Amino acid sequence: MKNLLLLLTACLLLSACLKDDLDPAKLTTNPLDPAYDGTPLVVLDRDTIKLVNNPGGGPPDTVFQQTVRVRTELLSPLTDWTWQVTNPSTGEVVNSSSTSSTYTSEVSTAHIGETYCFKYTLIVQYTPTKPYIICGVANL
Amino acid sequence: MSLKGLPYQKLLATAMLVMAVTGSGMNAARAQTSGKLRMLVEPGDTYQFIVDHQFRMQQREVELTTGPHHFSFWAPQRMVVDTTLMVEEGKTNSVVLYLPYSKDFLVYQRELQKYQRTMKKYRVIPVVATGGAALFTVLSYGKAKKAHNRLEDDRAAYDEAKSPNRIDVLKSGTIPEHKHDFKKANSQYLVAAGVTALFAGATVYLYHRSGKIDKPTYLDKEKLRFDGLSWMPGPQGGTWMGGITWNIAR
Repeated sequence: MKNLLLLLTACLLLSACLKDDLDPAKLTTNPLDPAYDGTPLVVLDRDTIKLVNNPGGGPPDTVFQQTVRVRTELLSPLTDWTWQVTNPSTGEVVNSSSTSSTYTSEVSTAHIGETYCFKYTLIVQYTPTKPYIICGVANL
Repeated sequence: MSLKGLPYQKLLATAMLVMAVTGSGMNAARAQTSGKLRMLVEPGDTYQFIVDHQFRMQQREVELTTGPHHFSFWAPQRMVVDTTLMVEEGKTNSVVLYLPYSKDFLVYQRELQKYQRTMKKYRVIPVVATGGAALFTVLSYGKAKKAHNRLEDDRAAYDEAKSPNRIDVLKSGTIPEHKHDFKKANSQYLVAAGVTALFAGATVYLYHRSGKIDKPTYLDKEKLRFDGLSWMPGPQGGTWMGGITWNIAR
């Protein structure tokens, strides 16, 4: 009877070792995963306002510039990407071939005190990663 | 022979038949001519025989006076065969004899076979079944472990994936498929382990139960009979002795 109990215990222990705790829905730790929920991959670097002279002679244009950067330390060393930037207010999508770790978006006729948002998506091997919407206020 | 000193009950209970064997027959044989008999008896290595109700022998060839002689052949597990053989002058005759198995031995063999069949049923078959189930369990565990390892590999592949497409393939195709395989293999393993445990329990129970069955034993009654036929030499020659015992206390 002792042997039988030992056998049953061994079986239970062995079966306990083989737990299936891999849930695809809970896999969210890879920064390239569209469902990634860790430290943001794309972060705001700076928001700037530039005054650009109007060639037509009117008042200078106010240009809002938003510069974001990729936190490359979160990615594997040889990861390549391009940028896809969407202006949610206009729906305009810019696909950039830039592989730089920073990207600057512009609003050419910005209004001071207004908030401007952009949606940044890194394209890695022709597929999009998680989009990041970053907003900034146009302040002098 | 004196009967003095023996208890009265024993005197009544035991009747002794005593017959003296005289040496005259042996003396007469010396004057007669002789012949030989060569024994070709099956089983060849264990048979014994008694010649003329007197001489117990175990040899291949025997030289006797001419004329008829009584022989009782016996071997372990075989019947005693009584026969009279003729010895011819100056000749060596062969005696070919197959000693049949005794009825008791055949009964014993049948009972032994029955016992062995029962033991096989109670011990060998459950042990083999348990062993088979255990082997199947080990193989199932190996399969489940392999499937589990694949899931671990998938987790590592997710962590190391360098493109969203690769991640999508993993999360929507590879991992669910491997999870299904693991679930199937693990279920099989658990069932196999359960069956093995059940078989092991049954084996222990049957082993315990079969221990109470007595193994048949064989008492060679033909040997006792054959031994009773043998000659017992005394200081003044030989005597034939037979005894009957009656328990009057019953």
